[in-house]
Amino acid sequence: MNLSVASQVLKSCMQSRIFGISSLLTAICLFTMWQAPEFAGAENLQNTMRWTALFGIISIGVAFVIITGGIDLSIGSVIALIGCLLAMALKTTYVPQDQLEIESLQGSTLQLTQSATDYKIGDEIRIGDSRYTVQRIEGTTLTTTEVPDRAEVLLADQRRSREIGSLVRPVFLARARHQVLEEKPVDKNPIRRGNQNLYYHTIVVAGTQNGFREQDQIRLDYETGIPGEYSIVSTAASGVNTEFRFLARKRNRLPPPAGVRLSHRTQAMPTSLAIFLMLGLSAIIGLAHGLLITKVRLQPFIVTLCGLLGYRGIARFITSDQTQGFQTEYFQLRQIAKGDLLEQLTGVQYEFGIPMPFVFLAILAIVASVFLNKTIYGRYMLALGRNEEAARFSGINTDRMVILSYVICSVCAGMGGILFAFDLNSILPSGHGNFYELYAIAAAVLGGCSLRGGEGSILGVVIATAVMRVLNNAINLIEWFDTSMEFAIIGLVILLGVTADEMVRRIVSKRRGVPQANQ
Amino acid sequence: MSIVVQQSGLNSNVPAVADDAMVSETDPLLEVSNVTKRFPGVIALQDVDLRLGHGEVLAVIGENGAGKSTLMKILAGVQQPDSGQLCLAGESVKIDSCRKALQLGVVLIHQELNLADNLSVSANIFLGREPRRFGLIDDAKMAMESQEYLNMVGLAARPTDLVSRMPIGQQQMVEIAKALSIDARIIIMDEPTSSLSSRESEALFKVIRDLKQRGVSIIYISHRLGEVRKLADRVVVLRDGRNSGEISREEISHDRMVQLMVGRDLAQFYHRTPHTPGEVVLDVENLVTTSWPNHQVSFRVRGGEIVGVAGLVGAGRSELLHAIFGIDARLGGTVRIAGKTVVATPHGMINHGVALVPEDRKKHGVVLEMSVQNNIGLAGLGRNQHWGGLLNQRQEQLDSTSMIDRLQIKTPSKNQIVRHLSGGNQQKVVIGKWLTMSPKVLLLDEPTRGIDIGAKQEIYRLMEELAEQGVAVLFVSSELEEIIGMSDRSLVMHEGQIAGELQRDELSEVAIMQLATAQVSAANASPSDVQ
Repeated sequence: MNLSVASQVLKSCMQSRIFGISSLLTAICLFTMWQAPEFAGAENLQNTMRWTALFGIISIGVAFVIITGGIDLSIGSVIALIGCLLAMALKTTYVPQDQLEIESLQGSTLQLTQSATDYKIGDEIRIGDSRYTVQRIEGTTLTTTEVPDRAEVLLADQRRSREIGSLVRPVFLARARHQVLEEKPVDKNPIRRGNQNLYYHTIVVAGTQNGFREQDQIRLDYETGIPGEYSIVSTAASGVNTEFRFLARKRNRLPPPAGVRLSHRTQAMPTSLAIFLMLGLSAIIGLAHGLLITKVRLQPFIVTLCGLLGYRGIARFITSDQTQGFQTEYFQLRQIAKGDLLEQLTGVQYEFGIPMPFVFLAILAIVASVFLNKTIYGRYMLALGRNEEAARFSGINTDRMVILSYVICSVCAGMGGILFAFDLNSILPSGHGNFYELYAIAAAVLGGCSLRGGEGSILGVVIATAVMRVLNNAINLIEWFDTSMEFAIIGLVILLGVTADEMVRRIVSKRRGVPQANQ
Repeated sequence: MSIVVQQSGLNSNVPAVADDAMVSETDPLLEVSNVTKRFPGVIALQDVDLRLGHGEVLAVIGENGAGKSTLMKILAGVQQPDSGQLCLAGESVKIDSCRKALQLGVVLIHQELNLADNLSVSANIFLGREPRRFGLIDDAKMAMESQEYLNMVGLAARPTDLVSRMPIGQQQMVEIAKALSIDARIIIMDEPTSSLSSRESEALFKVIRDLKQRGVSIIYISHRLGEVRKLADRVVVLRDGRNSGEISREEISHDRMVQLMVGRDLAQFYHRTPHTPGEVVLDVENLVTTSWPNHQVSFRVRGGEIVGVAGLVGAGRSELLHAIFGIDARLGGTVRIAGKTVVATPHGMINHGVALVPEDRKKHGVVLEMSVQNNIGLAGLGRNQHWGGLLNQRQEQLDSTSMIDRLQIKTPSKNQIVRHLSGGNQQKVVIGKWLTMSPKVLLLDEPTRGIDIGAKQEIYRLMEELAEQGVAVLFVSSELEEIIGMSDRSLVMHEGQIAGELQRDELSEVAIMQLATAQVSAANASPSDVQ
C-alpha cells in the first residue's frame, strides 16, 4: 500500500473542497460582474464584505457545534433577542433640567406636589411623548394647553403595567426655557458624519447652566415652526452666561430662537456594561443549551428549536412587538458595525475601505482556526464529533467540550446580534434575524462541515459565507433575476455545491484507491 | 436467555437443496477457481480456489488480512472479483449484486448482525419480502411463516418479539431463520460466536449441525480454532490472499491450523513466566455497578499480576471494568489505586495511572476517521499540552512513532486513518494510546476479540512484558483458553458477583465453567479476599 493513502485522501478532500468553494465564489463574482458591472463598485463591494463578515461570525460559531455533531437552530432568535435587549439597554432618554410631580389632574389643571413658581408661562410640560405649554400658574397649580384626554393617554401608555387604578402620582416632566443671548460665528471647517457635512455652532445662553456634558441635548425653540434638537459637544462658562457648542448641518448661523431648553442625556445602562451583559447573556443561553443536551440528554435539534421559538417570543414580548433601534444616537459606537478600518485608524475617509466587521471576522477566524487545529480542545471536539464514546473512554470530558461548543456558538450569535443591531439600527422583534441560523448552517456545511460531526474548516466556512452573500447580492443586482427567486436560487446552489463535493470525494477516494475495507 | 433447540421439524420442511437432488452429491455445490481481487496497492486475493460440498461445513480460517472477508464478500455479491470463476451447482454464475446472491441462495451473516432491531422478529425475517394482502402487510401470514423458521432453528421466541429485546445469541438465530426463509443453500457465517457466551455458542453449533442435516452448506469463518475443530468437515486456510492449505476432518488439529495460518510453528502460544507480584495497586472494595445494583464486588490486584476475569456474556464483567474506570456511574464502593481513593471519572483514573482497553474497539477504542498518530495521542493531549491548551504536536509525533515501533503496528504511516487498519492493528493503536501514559493498572476487555493469531500473540507478549514491569493487568475474556493461558489467577463472575477465584494451578475449562454457571454451591464459591 502506498504511503498514507487514506490520510492524503482526507487532506486532499479538504483542500479540494476549499479549492472548489473558492472556484464557485470566483465564478459567481465574475458572472455577476459581467451581468451587473455595478457589483464591482466600491460601495457595493464594501456592503457585501460587511454582510459576509456579519454572517461569517455566526457561521463560525455554528461550525463548532456542527463539528461536535450537534446543531443550533436558535441563532436567528438569539440575534433578535440580543438586538432588542441591546437597544433597550442603550435606550437614551433626555431628562429635562427640572421635573415636576403631579398630585392630581382635572381637565387641563395639574395639581403639583411642589411649588411651581420656578416655571414661567410658555414653559413646556412633557407627558410621555406629548408636549404642552404652561398657560397659567397659581401656586402649585399649573394650567396647560389642552390636556383633554390625558388620563386616557396615560392609560394607553401604561397598559402593560396593569396598574390603571394606581396612577395617582405619575411623573410629569417639564423644562424651563432659557433666553438665548447670541450665536457666535460658525466654524467653517466641516466635520464628516456618514455622508453629511456638519458645522460647529456656538450659542450663548443666559444664566449659569451647570452640569451639562457632551451628548446632552440643547433644543432651540421658535415661535413658529419645528424646534431644532442638537447634541451638545461642549459647554463653557462665559461670565454669568454659558456657551454651548453643538454640531448642525447649517453652514451659517441659525435663525435666532425664542429660547432654548436643556435636557440631560441618560442611558438605561452604561455602554460597556450593556455589551458585556449581552455577551454574558449569550454565553448563558449557550450554557443552558449545552447543559440540557449533555446532562438532561435532550437532542440538540429539539433544545435549540425550543430556543428558536422561545427567544423570539421573549424578544417580541419585552418590546411589545415594537421596532427597536438607536435613532441617531451612538454614532461612534455604531461604527464598529458600519465603519471602515482605515477611517477609524486615520480619520480620513477613503474611496474603498475595509469594513470593521470584516476585521472582526478576520480576527475571529484566525482565533477559531488556531483553536480548532492547534489546541487540545479543538482536537477533543474533532474527536468527540467523530466518536464521542471513544473520546470519553480516552478520559476526555466530552460533556464539557460539547457545552463549550454551544457556548461558543451562542456567543458568536450574540456578537452577531450586537453588530447586526448596530448595522441595521432597526430591529423588528418578529422578523430580525429570521432564517439566519439556516444561512449559518448552510454556510458551515457548504464550507466543509459534515453534519455527522468531526470535520470542518474555518476557512471553508468563511468562503462559503461569502458565496451566499455574493449570491444574494447578485440576485438583487442582476436585472433579469426576479428577487422573489432568491431562496430558490440559494437553495439550488447549496444543493449543487454539496452534491459536487460528494462526487469529488468519491472520485478522489476511488482514484487514490482506498480499499473498501481491509479485512 | 436460554435457547431451546427443538428436535422435531427436521422433516416438516423440505430444504431448498431438495430441488437440486439430481445433482450428484459428490459434485461440489460451489466451486471457486482462480479468483483474484486487487485493491489499489493491495492484492487482497490471488488465484484462490475453494470447493464446498452439499451439506458441508467448511471452515475458512486465516489471520486478519488473509483475504477471508474479501472472498466472502465476493460470494455474497458485495464485491466483484477481477478475475476467476464461480460455479454454483455446476453452472458458471456471476454474482454481481447482493440481490443476485440471495436469488442464488447465498446468504452472508455478518459478524455485526444486520437486523433492524426496532422491528419484530417476523418483520426482520421478511424484511423486503413482506407478504401482502390488498397492498397491506399481512401480519398474520408473516407471523405464521416466521414461526416455522424459528422452529427450524429451535428459537423459543415469538414472531412478534422485538429484536432489540433479545440477547445477541438469539438475534443470530433470527438471522439464520431469515436465511432459511429465503431458501439459502449456502450460509456464510463471519465470526458468528465472537459475541456469544459459551452456552449460546453451543446452541449455535447445534443449529449448524441441523442445517447440515438439511443439506444446507455452511462456510464458517472463525478465529476460534477450538470451534473449528469441533464443527468443520474441512478447513481451508488462507494466508496473504492465497490458499495456504487445506485440512480434512481427520487431520484437523490446533497446531496444524496455526502452522498453516502463520506459516511457521508456534512453539508456545501462551508464554508466561511467573514472577512475584508486588504491592496491591488496584483495590476494589464493595463496588456496586448500575447493571447489578444488589451485588457488591471486592477484589485486589497486585503490581506484576495478570488477573483474568471469566464468566458468561452478561455476567457483568465489562460493566465492572467500566465502573472501575469511571465510565459508568457506580452506586457504591471505592476504588483505590496504590492506596489512594480516586474519583470515579475516566480523567481521574487516567491521572492515577489506570487505562482501559475497551471491548468494542470501533465504538469505544478508536476514532476511526482519525489518524494513527492522533488516536495514539488522544489520551495524552491534556498531559502534554503547552500553555493555554496548545497542542504539543512534537510529543504526539514522538509518542506515535515510538508506539508504532514498539507494538509493531502495521501501518503505512502514522498519518494513516485508523479505519483502514486491520482489527489487530487497531487494537494495538488503542493499547499504544495507553502505553504513552505509562499505566500502573491496565484493564483489558476482550483484548483479542476479532484479532488474528499473530496479533493475539503479540498482545499476550505485551501483557506479559507489562506485568514484568510491575503493571497490574486485569483482563476480561470469553475465551477460556486465553484465561487459562494468561492468568496468574482468575476471577469468575456470575450474575454480577464474583462466583469464585481460581489460582493458576486450579485453572481448567471445567472449573471455570462450573463457577460461571453457578454449578458450585454458594458456600464453596464465596469470593475470598485476595491478598
